[in-house]
Amino acid sequence: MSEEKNPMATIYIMGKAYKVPNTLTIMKAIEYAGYRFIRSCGCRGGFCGSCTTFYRVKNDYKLYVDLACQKRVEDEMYIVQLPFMPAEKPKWDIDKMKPTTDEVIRVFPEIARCLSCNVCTEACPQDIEVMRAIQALRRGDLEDVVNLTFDCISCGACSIRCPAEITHYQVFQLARRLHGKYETIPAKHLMERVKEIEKGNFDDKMSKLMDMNVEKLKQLYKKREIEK
Amino acid sequence: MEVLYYPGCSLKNTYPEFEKSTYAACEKLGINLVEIPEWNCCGVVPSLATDNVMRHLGAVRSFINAQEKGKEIGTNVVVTLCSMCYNVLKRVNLILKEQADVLKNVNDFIDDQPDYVPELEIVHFLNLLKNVGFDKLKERIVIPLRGLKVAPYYGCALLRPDRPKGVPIDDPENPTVIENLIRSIGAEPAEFPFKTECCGNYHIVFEPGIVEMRTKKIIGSARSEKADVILSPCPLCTYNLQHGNETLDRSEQVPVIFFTQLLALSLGVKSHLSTEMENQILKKIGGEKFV
Repeated sequence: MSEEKNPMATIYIMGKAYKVPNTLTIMKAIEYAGYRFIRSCGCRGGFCGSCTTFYRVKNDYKLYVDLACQKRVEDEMYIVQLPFMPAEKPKWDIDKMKPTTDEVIRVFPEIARCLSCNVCTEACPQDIEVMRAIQALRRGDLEDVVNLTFDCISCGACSIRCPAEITHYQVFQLARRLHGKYETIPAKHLMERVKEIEKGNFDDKMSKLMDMNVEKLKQLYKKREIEK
Repeated sequence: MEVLYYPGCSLKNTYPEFEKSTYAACEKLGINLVEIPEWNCCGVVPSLATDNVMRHLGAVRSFINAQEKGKEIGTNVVVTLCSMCYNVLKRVNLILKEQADVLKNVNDFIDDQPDYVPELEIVHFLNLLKNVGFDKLKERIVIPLRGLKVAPYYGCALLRPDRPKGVPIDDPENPTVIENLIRSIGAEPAEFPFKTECCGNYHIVFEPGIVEMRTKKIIGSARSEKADVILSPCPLCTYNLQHGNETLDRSEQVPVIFFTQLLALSLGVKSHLSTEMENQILKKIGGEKFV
């Protein structure tokens, strides 16, 4: 009777079967099964990208990607989490660059290998049109790249699937920074605030915080102004 | 006349003057170029393995976007300017027209877009001009480039290989379409035996010596025919020929420009040539009045 009210689902965590309530998210289900997260778990709110999870379901050849904290389990779901995307971050000096595709290609020559297969887009847990963004970059349209990739959480799911071995999230970060630095109008209030900080206007307040004991800090945090 | 237009990456990133001069000339000629929305990189080098259709997906996705836009504006003609893009798009399109299994294969794979029905025609801008008619073009010329000797360079990608059949825009052994264009704008085509010689292509990346050796011959041939400029239809050839020029003494160099720049100049619209180059040409045609 209680099983009917709370139907269970069988899921396979790295190949091992568990019965879990089918109302849980993948993340909750993994904890329900007895695992304790020491990584692949971050904000639990669908923002940070830590809990990127690959899965397949029965009778479906497709490989799916989602955030474990957002996706509900399904019966006969095979799950593995992506703990880390291996990628070297190349060094670039934004002050010595121009906002052009050629400059980005110099840092990431592999973007020229894009096959237009669109597997990256299918992999994105944020529903970003990843291939479109890479192609927009090839067309020299940095602004389009920025608008398409604003929601990127740098989880690396696209990159792990890419046959051209592009590390999209790093490419997009460079594109966003180039666009931000060279193609947008700097925010006046931000420049003023930076000047104020450099002048030392906030040094007193900062050192007061640094000297405060933990209990007082906690109280202050609880009483902080919250935007409603 | 309204046609679909595929620009390609080189025109957007490296040689905007090629595209801008074309737009200027087209406006004057009443040709409306409608850029294909969201076109993909063509793939640059077509797959030589007949079953490696993966390499053709970029071209096919551009065809699908072109097909959908074409339905809106009522055309199936896609015009390209870059020789390499032309070669890739033309070959892929011919393969899809001729091989139903390949077409099915790519349409099955691309399950996030409508199917491609291979009814587009890929046309190089030179052949679009030819179809408009060089006689008609002649009537529109405002500044006839009399006295200017022009070396018509073709390179490879517009002419070779003829596989699948139908790739070359002209006779691969002795093409004449650029000569006809040169005559129609009032200039004189140079006898240019190296006009279809390969510039060295992507050897520029790892073996620039090969490109230097080849472009030296090409530029030398144009020079010995007393050509004032070399007219190029290809971004990569232009890049390589300009690299070749840089290795030569100033007296041995021959400037390389895009054919659409000279066309725009003769039509009296913005040529997007450097001021120095434009003045040099105008001086040559005896038109101090133009300078």
